[in-house]
Order: sequence, then structure tokens, then C-alpha cells
Amino acid sequence: MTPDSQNPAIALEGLSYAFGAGETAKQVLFDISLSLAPGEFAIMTGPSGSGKTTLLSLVGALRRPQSGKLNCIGHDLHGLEGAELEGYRQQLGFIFQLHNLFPALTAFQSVQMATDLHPEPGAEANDRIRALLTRLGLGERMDYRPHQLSGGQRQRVAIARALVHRPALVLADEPTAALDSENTQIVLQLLADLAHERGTTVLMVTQDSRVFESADRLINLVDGRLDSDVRRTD
Amino acid sequence: MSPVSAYDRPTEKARPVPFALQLIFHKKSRTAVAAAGIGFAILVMFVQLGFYSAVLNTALAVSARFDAEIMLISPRFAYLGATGTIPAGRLYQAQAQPEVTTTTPIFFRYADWRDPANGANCRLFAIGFPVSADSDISPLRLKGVSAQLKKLRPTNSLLLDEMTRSKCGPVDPSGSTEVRNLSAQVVGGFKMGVGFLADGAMLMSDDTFSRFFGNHPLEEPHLGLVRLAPGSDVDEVADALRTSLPRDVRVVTQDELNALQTQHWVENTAVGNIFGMGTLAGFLVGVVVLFQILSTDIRNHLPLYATLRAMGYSKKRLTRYVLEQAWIYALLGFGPALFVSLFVFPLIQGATNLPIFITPVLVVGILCLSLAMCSASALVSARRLHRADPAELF
Repeated sequence: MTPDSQNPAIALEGLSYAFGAGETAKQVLFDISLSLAPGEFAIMTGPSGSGKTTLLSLVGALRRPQSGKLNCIGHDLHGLEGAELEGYRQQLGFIFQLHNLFPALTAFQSVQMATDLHPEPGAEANDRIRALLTRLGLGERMDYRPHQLSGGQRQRVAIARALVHRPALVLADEPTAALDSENTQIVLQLLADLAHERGTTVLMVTQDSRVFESADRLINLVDGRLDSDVRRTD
Repeated sequence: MSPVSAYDRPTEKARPVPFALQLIFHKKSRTAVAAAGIGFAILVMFVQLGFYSAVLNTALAVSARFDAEIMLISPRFAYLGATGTIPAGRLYQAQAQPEVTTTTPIFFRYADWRDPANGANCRLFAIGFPVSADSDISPLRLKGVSAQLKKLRPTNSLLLDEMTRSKCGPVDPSGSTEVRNLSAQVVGGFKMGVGFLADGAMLMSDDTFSRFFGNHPLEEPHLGLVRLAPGSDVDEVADALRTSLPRDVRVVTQDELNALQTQHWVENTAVGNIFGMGTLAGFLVGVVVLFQILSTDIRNHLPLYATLRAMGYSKKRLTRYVLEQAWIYALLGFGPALFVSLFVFPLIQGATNLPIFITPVLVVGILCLSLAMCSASALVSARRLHRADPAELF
């Protein structure tokens, strides 16, 4: 038995999902079984409407699973509610296509909103925020608000916010779409380091072929079904 | 600019992002407009509650000043302006109780007042009581009245409340005047203020009262004061009097009389209801104004709140952020409203002679009302947070 099958970070078995109910129901995921080990960096690709984003939102407990098994970082996501659900989400790092930064908060404060959920000495948290923003090329712009930043810089603030609390699992939806090549490489390296050095599992949805070579696995979804699952180290 | 200057503090402790403050002060012009709207609502509450407290002061202006523990009133008593009468003999009967030291009949009636010097007319509240040669105890606890009681012995003499409205003419406590078309002599003054009850008040002997009011029989006072020996159990004596006296009088303690007065002025008069409703209107205006501000802000930031939900923020914590914003708005509106009230209240008082004051109780009460008003708004607005669905973010 392989280590990931013993204690996987993400374990899906027979997962299906449909929007709506009855005759108008639209099935978007069909009997997906998949397992990701801690520290794996997986990229999920597939044509538009293939169910990638739905799968991501199910793993992130942003939607309720309907059928099949879904276990992530030790949590059975069926029936997860209230404080347990919030506690699970706090262990994740979400990177959305849109940065979703509050206009009133500086870059530093936006990232601090993530550390505020995890009690620890302020100096340590603040040091980590500074270090992360600096690594993402925003060391000079920590006091800037979103309107003072470019689109790419805002996206990097959002990425720092998703990673600063050392999540066990990072779920990213096209995180590099707004970034130039140089910053794309910085972000990919950051995600790879998190995965390989800290054991963070990364599941990224992207169509950006520039990033494929950074991944340990390439998962392809077509019409809601698992089309291929290739381990690049194989 | 140094990239880390604001955060390089070796001893810094975990201090959460001042989220509510940041959101409020990010758009200063919008915040100023919002604070002005809320401040106006709070000012309305200040003035309305100021008038409302004047109504309460009116209710107690006379009754709380009676220098007695127990009062005998008519079963028809509604308030001091509509008392009915009691048989004076009941006061003598009351003296049969060993704890009772003295009793005093009191007479009340509204009287038309005319200042012959300038023809000013108004309506004063006349209070009559026996003035004996050997007693200088006033039935009303009013500064300086005891020393002037002897002046009331000549018929047609009266003491005029110096807080009588200026429209009644000069309130200088000297000179001739007319009460119910009969000449009268103002022989002194006192300070009481009767608020909405009348334009002013005057004290006189029972004989003068009887003369002014068509030989009103002195055997039919409108109220009787019953004083007890020090250390007497007021409730016990009141119960004994209720048992011993016939049903044509009602026995009440001073607290009970004050409660009757308050109940009448607050519940049965238009003024009490108007100012109570005015306060409520101010409260509701504030709730609506802040609801518009907060709910618009939440609607505009809905995806951002959804992001916080995805990060693991609870609805309770997000609601707390909205509440904090509301409280900050309450304080931003309260300060200017209090400041303006400090100028407005003396103007109102000067114009009306009503007992309307900025008191610590009023200030604390309005602050609590403001916080409650803004909290109510926040809790209603925060329901919009439920629409922040993180599933829509991917």
C-alpha cells in the first residue's frame, strides 16, 4: 500500500454532483475517484464545463457533497457544519480567479485577515506576512491599498493571503492568469516549496500550459469524468 | 517609503486588523454623510426625549414637593389639575392615628391671570393652603417659601413662581395683578416651574383661594397632606388609614401619588404620547438611515465577505464586524448631536420656560438608545451576509 492511500490529503470515491433537482437536474461530476497524498502538487485541467471548478468547490467544502465519499485532511466532508466546517476551511488556502480584496485594507492587512484566524504571537505572524509579501515582490507595497496596486500585484496579495497561515491544502483556480511570466514562476516556486518542504497538498485548476511542468500530477477532467491522471515523476 | 516601517515593532502583540474602523474611514465623505444622518436622528431623540423628560418633570413638579408622607385624595382624582374634592373631616379623622402628627388641606385650581400693567394674559396654577399665625411650615418643599408664609396672611396676597412664562408679564415678585378679574398683590416669589401644567404657579392662603374661586368651601379641599412622626412605617399607616377612613377618600403614599401623576402625563396626555412617539420616530429614522448605509456596503462587498466565509470566518464574526461598524457610526453621530443639543436646549428653555435640561441621565439614556438603534440596524443589515455564498467564488 502506498503512503498516499494510507493517509491521503484528499480522497474521493465515486463522487458525483448535479446542479438542480428532478428533471431539470444537470449532472456535472460522474463517479470521480481520486486520491492526493500530502505534499503533492496536482494540476487539474480540462475544457470549460468539465466540472473542474465544481470539484474544487466540493473539496473546499464550499458546496455540500451529494453522493460518493469525500474525505480531506482527516475530515469527512459529508454533513460538515458550523464550527467544524469553519475549522476545516481555516486549514485551507483558497486562491480565486478574482483577488477579492477589501478596498479599505492595505496589502499587509488583507494578508493579516488570514492570520487573525490563527492565534499566535503577533510578531511571528507579522514577520511571516512581511516575508511572504516580500518574496512575492510586494515588500515595497505592504501599505498600499488595492486601488494603488496593479492587477498582478493584487493577485499576489490574494495568493499571500491564501498561503500565509501554512494551510494543509491549497485550492487554486487559475492563480497565475493575471501574472506575467516572472511572477508566475515566483508563485509556482512558492507553491512547489510549500508542497515539497511543508507537505502542503496543492490542487490547482488551470489552462495555463506554462505551469504544467511544475506539477507532480496532471489530472484531466472531461465532461465531468476523470479522463487521465498522470504522475509526472512516473 | 520603508517597506516595513509600520510593522517593525519587536514587542508587537497579536493585534487583529481593525476591520470595522478601516471600512468606515476608508471613504471619509460617505462616512461624514452617514454620521450626519445618524447624528440628526440622535438630535431628534435628544430633543424629543428632552421634552419627554420635561413631561415627567411636569408630572412631579408639584406632587414630589409635598412635605408629607401620605396624601388623601378623591376617588375621582385624575391628576393635580383634575382632582375632585375630599371632605375636610377626613383629615381630622386621620389624626386619630397615633403616628399622624399634622394634616393640611390643599386647594388647587387653574386661574386666569392678567397683568394690568401690560394686559398680558395667561393661565396659572393656583395652590392654596392654610396660613396660620403660629406656623412657618410650608406644605411644599420650596426654598424660601416658609420665610414668606406670613406675607400671605392678608387676603389677596400671593407668591408668584419666578419661572412663570414671560408672556404673563413681568415676574418681578412685587406689584398688583388680577386673578380671575379680582385684584391681587404679589408679595413674594419662589422657584418651582410647572412645565406643561400651566404657564406658571402661585401660592396663596386658603382664604385667598376661596375668594378667588367663588367662595370655594374650605371644607372641600382638593387634597390632604398627612405628616407622620419620624420613624413611622408609611405603608403600615397608609393601610391603617385605608381601613379606618370611608371610601369617599383614597389614601396614597407620596410615591403612589407621583406614580399616578406620571401615569397621567405619560399615558393620558397628548404631550406625553407626542414626545414618546417623537423619540420613537427619531429612533426609526436612525435605524433606516444606518440600514441603508450598512446594507449597501454589505451588498457592494458581498463577494469579499464570501471570501472571508471561505477562509473560515463565521457568520457570527462577520455579524460582529457589522455591529462594530454600527457602534462606531453611533458614536460618530452622538458626539455632534450632543454638541448641538448643548446649544439647542438652552434656546428651547429660554423660549418656553419648560424644564428641559441636558442631564447625565438623558445623555447616558440617549447614548444607550443610539447604540441600540445602530445595533438594531446592524442586525437587520447583517442578514444580507447570509447571501454571501463562497460557492459562487470559484
